[in-house]
Amino acid sequence: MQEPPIRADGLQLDEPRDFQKCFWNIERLAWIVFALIIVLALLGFTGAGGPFSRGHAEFTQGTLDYPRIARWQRSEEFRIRLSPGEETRRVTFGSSFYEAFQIEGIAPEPERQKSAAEGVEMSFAADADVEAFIVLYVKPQQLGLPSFTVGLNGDNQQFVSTILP
Amino acid sequence: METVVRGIVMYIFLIAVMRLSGRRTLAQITTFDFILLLIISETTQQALLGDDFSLVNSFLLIITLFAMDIALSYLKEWSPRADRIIDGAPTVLVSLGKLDEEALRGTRVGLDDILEAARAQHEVERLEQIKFAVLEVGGDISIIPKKQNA
Repeated sequence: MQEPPIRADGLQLDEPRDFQKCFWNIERLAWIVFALIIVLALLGFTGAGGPFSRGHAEFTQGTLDYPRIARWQRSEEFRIRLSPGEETRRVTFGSSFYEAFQIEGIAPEPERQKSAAEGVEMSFAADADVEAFIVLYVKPQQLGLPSFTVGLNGDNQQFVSTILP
Repeated sequence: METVVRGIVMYIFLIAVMRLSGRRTLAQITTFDFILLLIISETTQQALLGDDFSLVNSFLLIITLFAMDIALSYLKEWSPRADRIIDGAPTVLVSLGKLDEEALRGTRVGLDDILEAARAQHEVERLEQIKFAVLEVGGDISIIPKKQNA
Protein backbone atom coordinates (compact mmCIF):
# COMPACT_ATOMS: atom_id res chain seq x y z
CA MET A 1 0.00 0.00 0.00
CA GLN A 2 1.54 3.29 -1.11
CA GLU A 3 1.13 6.32 1.12
CA PRO A 4 -0.06 9.51 -0.58
CA PRO A 5 2.73 12.12 -0.81
CA ILE A 6 2.83 15.18 1.44
CA ARG A 7 2.34 18.36 -0.58
CA ALA A 8 4.26 21.60 -0.21
CA ASP A 9 1.33 23.12 1.73
CA GLY A 10 1.39 20.24 4.24
CA LEU A 11 -1.64 18.25 3.05
CA GLN A 12 -1.07 14.52 2.63
CA LEU A 13 -3.09 14.01 -0.49
CA ASP A 14 -2.47 12.76 -3.99
CA GLU A 15 -4.00 15.27 -6.36
CA PRO A 16 -2.96 14.62 -9.97
CA ARG A 17 -3.67 18.17 -11.17
CA ASP A 18 -2.53 17.48 -14.75
CA PHE A 19 -4.96 14.59 -14.95
CA GLN A 20 -7.71 16.74 -13.41
CA LYS A 21 -7.16 19.52 -15.95
CA CYS A 22 -7.19 16.99 -18.78
CA PHE A 23 -10.40 15.47 -17.42
CA TRP A 24 -12.10 18.86 -17.03
CA ASN A 25 -11.34 19.51 -20.71
CA ILE A 26 -12.72 16.09 -21.66
CA GLU A 27 -15.84 16.89 -19.62
CA ARG A 28 -16.41 20.13 -21.52
CA LEU A 29 -15.88 18.29 -24.80
CA ALA A 30 -18.38 15.64 -23.70
CA TRP A 31 -20.98 18.37 -23.01
CA ILE A 32 -20.55 19.60 -26.58
CA VAL A 33 -20.98 16.00 -27.78
CA PHE A 34 -24.15 15.70 -25.63
CA ALA A 35 -25.53 18.86 -27.29
CA LEU A 36 -24.61 17.52 -30.75
CA ILE A 37 -26.35 14.22 -30.05
CA ILE A 38 -29.51 16.11 -29.03
CA VAL A 39 -29.41 18.20 -32.23
CA LEU A 40 -28.86 15.04 -34.32
CA ALA A 41 -31.77 13.36 -32.52
CA LEU A 42 -34.02 16.35 -33.20
CA LEU A 43 -33.07 16.16 -36.87
CA GLY A 44 -34.05 12.50 -36.90
CA PHE A 45 -30.64 10.82 -37.17
CA THR A 46 -31.47 8.57 -34.24
CA GLY A 47 -34.82 7.48 -35.65
CA ALA A 48 -38.29 7.86 -34.10
CA GLY A 49 -39.34 11.03 -35.90
CA GLY A 50 -37.48 14.05 -37.25
CA PRO A 51 -37.00 15.23 -40.83
CA PHE A 52 -34.12 12.87 -41.70
CA SER A 53 -35.62 9.74 -40.16
CA ARG A 54 -37.93 9.11 -43.10
CA GLY A 55 -37.17 8.64 -46.78
CA HIS A 56 -39.34 9.37 -49.78
CA ALA A 57 -39.19 7.67 -53.17
CA GLU A 58 -41.01 8.36 -56.43
CA PHE A 59 -42.15 5.46 -58.58
CA THR A 60 -43.67 5.65 -62.06
CA GLN A 61 -47.11 4.97 -60.59
CA GLY A 62 -46.86 6.07 -57.00
CA THR A 63 -44.75 7.08 -54.06
CA LEU A 64 -43.28 5.40 -51.01
CA ASP A 65 -42.61 6.96 -47.64
CA TYR A 66 -40.38 4.63 -45.61
CA PRO A 67 -38.29 4.66 -42.41
CA ARG A 68 -34.75 5.58 -43.46
CA ILE A 69 -33.51 5.43 -39.87
CA ALA A 70 -35.42 3.22 -37.45
CA ARG A 71 -34.91 1.58 -34.11
CA TRP A 72 -34.90 -2.13 -33.45
CA GLN A 73 -38.31 -3.42 -32.33
CA ARG A 74 -39.93 0.02 -32.49
CA SER A 75 -43.03 0.17 -34.68
CA GLU A 76 -42.63 2.02 -37.98
CA GLU A 77 -44.78 2.68 -41.02
CA PHE A 78 -44.39 2.26 -44.76
CA ARG A 79 -46.84 4.61 -46.52
CA ILE A 80 -47.62 3.85 -50.13
CA ARG A 81 -49.61 6.00 -52.55
CA LEU A 82 -50.60 4.45 -55.86
CA SER A 83 -51.73 6.72 -58.69
CA PRO A 84 -55.18 6.22 -60.27
CA GLY A 85 -55.12 3.56 -62.95
CA GLU A 86 -56.11 -0.08 -62.91
CA GLU A 87 -58.65 -1.49 -60.46
CA THR A 88 -56.04 -3.85 -59.03
CA ARG A 89 -52.82 -2.28 -57.80
CA ARG A 90 -49.80 -4.43 -57.05
CA VAL A 91 -47.23 -3.90 -54.31
CA THR A 92 -44.24 -6.23 -54.09
CA PHE A 93 -41.77 -6.69 -51.26
CA GLY A 94 -38.54 -8.64 -51.81
CA SER A 95 -37.81 -11.56 -49.49
CA SER A 96 -35.08 -9.59 -47.69
CA PHE A 97 -37.80 -7.17 -46.56
CA TYR A 98 -39.36 -9.94 -44.47
CA GLU A 99 -36.01 -10.68 -42.83
CA ALA A 100 -35.59 -7.02 -41.87
CA PHE A 101 -39.15 -6.22 -40.84
CA GLN A 102 -42.04 -8.04 -39.24
CA ILE A 103 -45.37 -6.88 -40.65
CA GLU A 104 -47.76 -6.08 -37.81
CA GLY A 105 -50.64 -4.92 -39.94
CA ILE A 106 -51.67 -3.67 -43.37
CA ALA A 107 -54.38 -1.07 -43.94
CA PRO A 108 -56.34 -1.73 -46.06
CA GLU A 109 -55.80 -5.50 -46.12
CA PRO A 110 -54.68 -6.78 -49.54
CA GLU A 111 -57.19 -8.71 -51.63
CA ARG A 112 -54.64 -11.47 -52.10
CA GLN A 113 -50.96 -12.20 -51.56
CA LYS A 114 -48.81 -14.53 -53.64
CA SER A 115 -45.19 -15.50 -53.98
CA ALA A 116 -43.65 -14.06 -57.12
CA ALA A 117 -40.20 -13.87 -58.69
CA GLU A 118 -39.46 -10.53 -56.96
CA GLY A 119 -40.79 -11.63 -53.56
CA VAL A 120 -44.27 -11.42 -52.16
CA GLU A 121 -46.83 -9.63 -54.31
CA MET A 122 -49.86 -8.03 -52.69
CA SER A 123 -52.91 -7.03 -54.72
CA PHE A 124 -55.14 -4.20 -53.58
CA ALA A 125 -58.55 -3.41 -55.01
CA ALA A 126 -59.30 0.26 -55.73
CA ASP A 127 -61.58 2.34 -57.89
CA ALA A 128 -59.79 3.04 -61.16
CA ASP A 129 -60.05 6.83 -60.83
CA VAL A 130 -58.82 7.23 -57.25
CA GLU A 131 -55.43 7.20 -55.60
CA ALA A 132 -54.87 4.19 -53.36
CA PHE A 133 -53.29 4.84 -49.99
CA ILE A 134 -51.79 1.84 -48.18
CA VAL A 135 -50.03 1.75 -44.83
CA LEU A 136 -47.87 -1.11 -43.59
CA TYR A 137 -47.20 -1.22 -39.86
CA VAL A 138 -43.88 -2.96 -39.29
CA LYS A 139 -41.40 -3.76 -36.54
CA PRO A 140 -37.68 -3.77 -37.48
CA GLN A 141 -36.10 -7.14 -36.69
CA GLN A 142 -32.61 -6.85 -38.15
CA LEU A 143 -29.93 -4.53 -36.80
CA GLY A 144 -27.62 -2.70 -39.17
CA LEU A 145 -28.25 -1.71 -42.76
CA PRO A 146 -30.74 -4.13 -44.30
CA SER A 147 -31.48 -3.55 -47.98
CA PHE A 148 -34.76 -4.59 -49.53
CA THR A 149 -36.77 -4.19 -52.70
CA VAL A 150 -40.16 -2.55 -53.00
CA GLY A 151 -42.15 -2.66 -56.22
CA LEU A 152 -45.22 -0.61 -57.10
CA ASN A 153 -47.12 -1.97 -60.09
CA GLY A 154 -43.99 -3.68 -61.41
CA ASP A 155 -41.58 -0.77 -60.90
CA ASN A 156 -38.98 -2.15 -58.44
CA GLN A 157 -36.55 -0.06 -56.43
CA GLN A 158 -33.89 -0.96 -53.89
CA PHE A 159 -33.85 0.69 -50.45
CA VAL A 160 -31.62 0.64 -47.40
CA SER A 161 -32.80 1.38 -43.88
CA THR A 162 -30.58 1.95 -40.88
CA ILE A 163 -31.82 -0.03 -37.90
CA LEU A 164 -30.30 1.24 -34.66
CA PRO A 165 -30.03 -0.99 -31.58
CA MET B 1 -27.09 -13.39 -24.22
CA GLU B 2 -29.00 -10.20 -24.93
CA THR B 3 -29.67 -9.61 -21.22
CA VAL B 4 -25.98 -9.82 -20.32
CA VAL B 5 -24.99 -7.51 -23.20
CA ARG B 6 -27.70 -5.02 -22.23
CA GLY B 7 -26.54 -5.07 -18.61
CA ILE B 8 -22.87 -4.54 -19.46
CA VAL B 9 -23.55 -1.80 -22.04
CA MET B 10 -25.95 0.10 -19.77
CA TYR B 11 -23.59 -0.14 -16.79
CA ILE B 12 -20.62 1.23 -18.76
CA PHE B 13 -22.80 3.88 -20.46
CA LEU B 14 -24.22 5.13 -17.15
CA ILE B 15 -20.80 5.33 -15.51
CA ALA B 16 -19.39 7.21 -18.52
CA VAL B 17 -22.29 9.68 -18.70
CA MET B 18 -22.33 10.29 -14.94
CA ARG B 19 -18.58 10.93 -14.93
CA LEU B 20 -18.58 13.10 -18.05
CA SER B 21 -21.58 15.14 -16.94
CA GLY B 22 -19.43 16.25 -14.00
CA ARG B 23 -22.14 15.68 -11.42
CA ARG B 24 -20.36 15.70 -8.12
CA THR B 25 -22.63 13.49 -6.10
CA LEU B 26 -26.04 11.94 -5.96
CA ALA B 27 -25.71 11.28 -2.24
CA GLN B 28 -26.87 14.72 -1.11
CA ILE B 29 -29.57 15.42 -3.61
CA THR B 30 -31.43 18.58 -4.42
CA THR B 31 -34.98 18.48 -5.79
CA PHE B 32 -33.59 18.69 -9.31
CA ASP B 33 -31.17 15.79 -8.68
CA PHE B 34 -34.06 13.75 -7.29
CA ILE B 35 -36.14 14.27 -10.44
CA LEU B 36 -33.12 13.45 -12.61
CA LEU B 37 -32.49 10.28 -10.62
CA LEU B 38 -36.12 9.19 -10.94
CA ILE B 39 -36.19 9.70 -14.70
CA ILE B 40 -32.82 8.02 -15.23
CA SER B 41 -33.80 4.98 -13.17
CA GLU B 42 -37.11 4.62 -15.00
CA THR B 43 -35.45 4.94 -18.43
CA THR B 44 -32.66 2.56 -17.46
CA GLN B 45 -35.15 -0.01 -16.23
CA GLN B 46 -36.96 -0.02 -19.56
CA ALA B 47 -33.73 -0.21 -21.56
CA LEU B 48 -32.43 -3.03 -19.38
CA LEU B 49 -35.52 -5.20 -19.30
CA GLY B 50 -37.00 -4.48 -22.73
CA ASP B 51 -40.29 -6.37 -22.92
CA ASP B 52 -39.00 -9.45 -21.16
CA PHE B 53 -40.39 -9.49 -17.63
CA SER B 54 -39.38 -13.07 -16.84
CA LEU B 55 -37.64 -14.02 -13.59
CA VAL B 56 -34.70 -15.44 -15.54
CA ASN B 57 -34.17 -12.07 -17.22
CA SER B 58 -34.16 -10.13 -13.97
CA PHE B 59 -31.93 -12.69 -12.20
CA LEU B 60 -29.45 -12.58 -15.07
CA LEU B 61 -29.47 -8.80 -15.09
CA ILE B 62 -28.87 -8.51 -11.35
CA ILE B 63 -26.01 -11.01 -11.50
CA THR B 64 -24.50 -9.19 -14.49
CA LEU B 65 -24.64 -5.82 -12.69
CA PHE B 66 -23.06 -7.22 -9.53
CA ALA B 67 -20.39 -9.00 -11.58
CA MET B 68 -19.61 -5.71 -13.35
CA ASP B 69 -19.32 -3.99 -9.99
CA ILE B 70 -16.91 -6.63 -8.68
CA ALA B 71 -14.88 -6.60 -11.91
CA LEU B 72 -14.62 -2.82 -11.78
CA SER B 73 -13.47 -2.85 -8.15
CA TYR B 74 -10.68 -5.28 -9.12
CA LEU B 75 -9.77 -3.10 -12.10
CA LYS B 76 -9.53 -0.03 -9.84
CA GLU B 77 -7.33 -1.92 -7.37
CA TRP B 78 -5.09 -3.21 -10.13
CA SER B 79 -4.72 0.09 -12.00
CA PRO B 80 -4.55 3.43 -10.14
CA ARG B 81 -5.09 5.15 -13.48
CA ALA B 82 -8.36 3.31 -14.03
CA ASP B 83 -9.33 4.22 -10.47
CA ARG B 84 -8.77 7.90 -11.25
CA ILE B 85 -10.74 7.70 -14.47
CA ILE B 86 -13.69 5.86 -12.93
CA ASP B 87 -13.89 7.50 -9.49
CA GLY B 88 -11.95 10.73 -10.04
CA ALA B 89 -9.42 12.21 -7.63
CA PRO B 90 -9.73 14.71 -4.76
CA THR B 91 -9.31 18.36 -5.70
CA VAL B 92 -7.85 21.00 -3.38
CA LEU B 93 -10.07 24.07 -3.63
CA VAL B 94 -8.52 26.17 -0.85
CA SER B 95 -4.87 25.75 0.07
CA LEU B 96 -3.43 27.61 3.09
CA GLY B 97 -6.38 29.98 2.96
CA LYS B 98 -5.91 30.78 -0.73
CA LEU B 99 -8.71 30.05 -3.20
CA ASP B 100 -7.72 28.02 -6.26
CA GLU B 101 -9.79 29.69 -8.98
CA GLU B 102 -8.83 27.14 -11.62
CA ALA B 103 -9.98 24.24 -9.46
CA LEU B 104 -13.24 26.02 -8.63
CA ARG B 105 -13.96 26.61 -12.33
CA GLY B 106 -12.96 23.09 -13.28
CA THR B 107 -15.09 21.39 -10.66
CA ARG B 108 -17.93 23.95 -10.89
CA VAL B 109 -17.89 24.40 -7.12
CA GLY B 110 -18.99 27.83 -5.90
CA LEU B 111 -17.75 29.80 -2.93
CA ASP B 112 -21.20 29.26 -1.41
CA ASP B 113 -20.67 25.50 -1.43
CA ILE B 114 -17.36 25.85 0.43
CA LEU B 115 -18.85 28.20 3.01
CA GLU B 116 -21.84 25.91 3.47
CA ALA B 117 -19.58 22.92 4.11
CA ALA B 118 -17.47 25.03 6.49
CA ARG B 119 -20.53 26.13 8.45
CA ALA B 120 -21.92 22.61 8.62
CA GLN B 121 -18.67 20.88 9.63
CA HIS B 122 -16.84 23.40 11.80
CA GLU B 123 -19.21 26.27 12.47
CA VAL B 124 -16.80 28.46 10.55
CA GLU B 125 -18.20 31.92 9.87
CA ARG B 126 -15.92 33.44 7.23
CA LEU B 127 -13.77 32.36 4.31
CA GLU B 128 -10.60 33.66 5.95
CA GLN B 129 -11.02 31.08 8.75
CA ILE B 130 -10.65 28.21 6.27
CA LYS B 131 -7.18 26.71 5.85
CA PHE B 132 -7.99 23.88 3.44
CA ALA B 133 -11.05 22.91 1.45
CA VAL B 134 -10.91 19.68 -0.51
CA LEU B 135 -13.50 18.34 -2.91
CA GLU B 136 -13.44 14.64 -2.14
CA VAL B 137 -13.99 11.81 -4.60
CA GLY B 138 -17.47 11.19 -3.18
CA GLY B 139 -18.47 14.78 -3.93
CA ASP B 140 -18.36 16.13 -0.35
CA ILE B 141 -16.26 19.15 0.54
CA SER B 142 -13.92 18.59 3.50
CA ILE B 143 -12.93 21.67 5.45
CA ILE B 144 -9.88 22.11 7.67
CA PRO B 145 -10.22 25.38 9.57
CA LYS B 146 -7.33 27.60 10.63
CA LYS B 147 -6.32 27.14 14.26
CA GLN B 148 -7.91 29.76 16.51
CA ASN B 149 -5.46 32.12 18.26
CA ALA B 150 -5.77 31.88 22.02
